[in-house]
Amino acid sequence: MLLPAADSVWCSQGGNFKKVIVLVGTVPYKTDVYTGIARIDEDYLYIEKTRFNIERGTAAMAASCAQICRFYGLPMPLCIFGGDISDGKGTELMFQNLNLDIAKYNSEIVTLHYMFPKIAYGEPFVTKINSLPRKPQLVADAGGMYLMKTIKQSQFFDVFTPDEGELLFLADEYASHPLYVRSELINKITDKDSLVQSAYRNGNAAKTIIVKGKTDYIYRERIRVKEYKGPDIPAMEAIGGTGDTITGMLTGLRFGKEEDPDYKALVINRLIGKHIKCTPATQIKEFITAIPIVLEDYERNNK
Amino acid sequence: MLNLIKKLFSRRYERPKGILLYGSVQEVILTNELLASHGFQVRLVAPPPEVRVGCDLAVEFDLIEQEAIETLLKLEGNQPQKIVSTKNMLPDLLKKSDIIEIDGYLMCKAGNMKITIDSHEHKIVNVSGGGCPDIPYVAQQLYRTRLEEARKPVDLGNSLCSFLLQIAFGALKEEISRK
Repeated sequence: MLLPAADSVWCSQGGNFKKVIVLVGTVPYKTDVYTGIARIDEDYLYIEKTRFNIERGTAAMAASCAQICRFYGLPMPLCIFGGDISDGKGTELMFQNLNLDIAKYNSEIVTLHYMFPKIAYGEPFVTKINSLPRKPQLVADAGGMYLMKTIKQSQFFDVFTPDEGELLFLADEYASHPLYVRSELINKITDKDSLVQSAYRNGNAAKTIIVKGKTDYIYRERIRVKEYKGPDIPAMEAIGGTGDTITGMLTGLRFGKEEDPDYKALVINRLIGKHIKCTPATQIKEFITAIPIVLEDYERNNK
Repeated sequence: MLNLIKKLFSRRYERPKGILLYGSVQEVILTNELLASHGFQVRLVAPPPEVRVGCDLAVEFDLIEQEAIETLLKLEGNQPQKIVSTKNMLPDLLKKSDIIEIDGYLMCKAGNMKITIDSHEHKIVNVSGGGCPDIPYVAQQLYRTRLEEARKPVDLGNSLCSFLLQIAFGALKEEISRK
């Protein structure tokens, strides 16, 4: 079922407007900016009249967030997507629009996802967020995280969601991209605590770091506060988008002020993998479709 | 004797290097291949911080060969945006990739990128990781194609994530050809 766009009033109209999630990232579509409230059905994510595949990347993250919002009856997220295959033009247009319009929204959370990590785009964004009367929660994954490290604004963010390869990149003070991580750090991959401490020490960590891997870890202000081990499903590492679903879900759960939202997102993600009996060939769309069913079970069992 | 000790403990002489900077990673890779095929001592490096724009790669060469390289690139219509000197910074990840078997599938990891094929037909079933914007597009293009017939990730995308994916893709191809 397609939800109507009028489901949420997100923009200032007579000064009375709802708090909103703002999801920002690139999609592999023609160079343009796609802005609007997300709508979802079983197969696609819609923004205005454009239909996006939810098979990977930003659209998968946004669809996961939208599933959470729909499940809990929250306003659907506002998306600002840049159509960008690889030339960076869509990233630039996306940030121009975001920086121009962000003050119009009563944004509660802003999540940055896939994008070209170019310095010129990030600094004006940080300046703009600083100028808002109330700073929204800031979440970054993928290119959004690379960008904040590049411009040395990681600490300005509330949440980073690196996988193991990205944690190495955050831990390496010199690497400008995960490609350039040093051997001595690569050899420390099993020592998450040490890598996370290095990321914090060098100012390359957000307040909360959620490390996605065989065991998921949550660190807050340098301290490991939680870890989640099971069910152990090795196939999930191969499936493109299992990190995107975590980022999308935790954004929605934080917005809904759910208890322990980051941990809950990690748990739901693995329960979905178990529920759909995923294999390395499973596509992320199957995960996203299963979010409400697994969430319902989870809520019933945790009352 | 004193001279011999000094010589033994002195820093080894390093030939001065230069780097070629281009607008895209794809151009860098092509230039590297072109120069190597003409016998130049070249390699891929991270640009130094002062010329870095956040997500880029460069070709390092011996400064002594600059003129010959510039002439060749001019002839080929492949001139760089900029030439600068740099220190040696070979990405360590270029030397490392891991192949893991999971339930009848082979997954290869290089840095933050992973590519998975089924062991029998060698069809690409998933691409995971990466934060640059071309990755969803590259993954979409590779999905369901046989590894032997698939286009190279660096021909489809031009970010560093695509380049890492290329390393994993190449390692997987090598592994299959060995079997």
